[in-house]
Amino acid sequence: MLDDDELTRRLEAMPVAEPPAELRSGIMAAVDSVWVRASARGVRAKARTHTAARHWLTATWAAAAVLVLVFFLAYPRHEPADVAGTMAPRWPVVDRIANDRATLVVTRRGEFYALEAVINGARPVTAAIAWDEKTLAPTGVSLGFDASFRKDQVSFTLRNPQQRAGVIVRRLSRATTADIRVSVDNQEILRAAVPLD
Amino acid sequence: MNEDELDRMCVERCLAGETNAFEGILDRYERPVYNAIVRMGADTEEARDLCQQVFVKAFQHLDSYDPTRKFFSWLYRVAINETINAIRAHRTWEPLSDAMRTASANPEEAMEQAEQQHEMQRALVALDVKYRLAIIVRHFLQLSYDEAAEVLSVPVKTVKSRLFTARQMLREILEDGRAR
Repeated sequence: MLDDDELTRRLEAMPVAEPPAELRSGIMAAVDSVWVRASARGVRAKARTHTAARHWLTATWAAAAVLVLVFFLAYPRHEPADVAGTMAPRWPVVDRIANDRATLVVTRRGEFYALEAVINGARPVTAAIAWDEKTLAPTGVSLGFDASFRKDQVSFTLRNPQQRAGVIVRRLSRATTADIRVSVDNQEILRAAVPLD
Repeated sequence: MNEDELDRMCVERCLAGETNAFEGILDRYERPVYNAIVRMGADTEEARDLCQQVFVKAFQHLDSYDPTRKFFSWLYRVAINETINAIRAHRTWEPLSDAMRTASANPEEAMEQAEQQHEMQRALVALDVKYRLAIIVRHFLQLSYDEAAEVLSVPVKTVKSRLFTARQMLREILEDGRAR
């Protein structure tokens, strides 16, 4: 029987697995894509720790809320024509495809692509973005709380009109285009061959 | 400035919108988190994807981190939860590939070392998840009993008893392997 010291020695002799070089760039690319959300949370988090700041923020939020309320009462509501870019990572846009049901915005940084779908219509809704698993691999979700991953698809439950389905994917092959499908409740509503070069 | 203070500063800067400050977190934790995931039994590709998922989730939830506590406890808890979810959701992980083994100058010694490491990884993966985690937090993340208890969200005495059982089971698995 192995004694305690020998077991400990063997455990401690296990080599440290080194993370692959591209891991960090993948994480930072994904982190960049959630920046909008994180910064908005940051305001709240800081407010918890500083009383004076919290009071100031409360007053500011209250004033802003009144202004927004007045605005919405005074003017008829209409959706902005191009809302997709506001949440997508601030990377160069590779492609933008739209129809009456959805808009797909594709941005790129190096070998990483952000796919963001703005779905029109009622909420809540289950939306999915799918791709060919030989061409792209998922590396992060920009709106990850109600999201589930597969190698070739990510699906989201969108609960309000401000939420969009977003995913960061990494290019796997030398294919020059990627077939991207957007579906709602398992029905395809948009399909595009997105250029990768 | 100690590591705790460095961590808190990075978190504050991230929350203030300085995304690049997250590099500081990665400098300190990318390696241990990746290693812990690998020791849980993930292969290289799964470990990379899962590790990325852990850090992105941590970043998304930075505002739920309580700065009066140690950051690494919070981060390791996120990592453990994600890893357990991945194990439950997908698959039984297989022992590591040969690429993870180390080499020694002496070929015979190297072969023996590699064999022992392979057996140990196989034995680890054979353990029930809660016992595997006890070994990982103590031996690979090198946490104290108190820290391990916080990360695993169980009392210290539970950590000690799981560790005792885990070591017992590891011995049995390794002995069985040798007998065959």
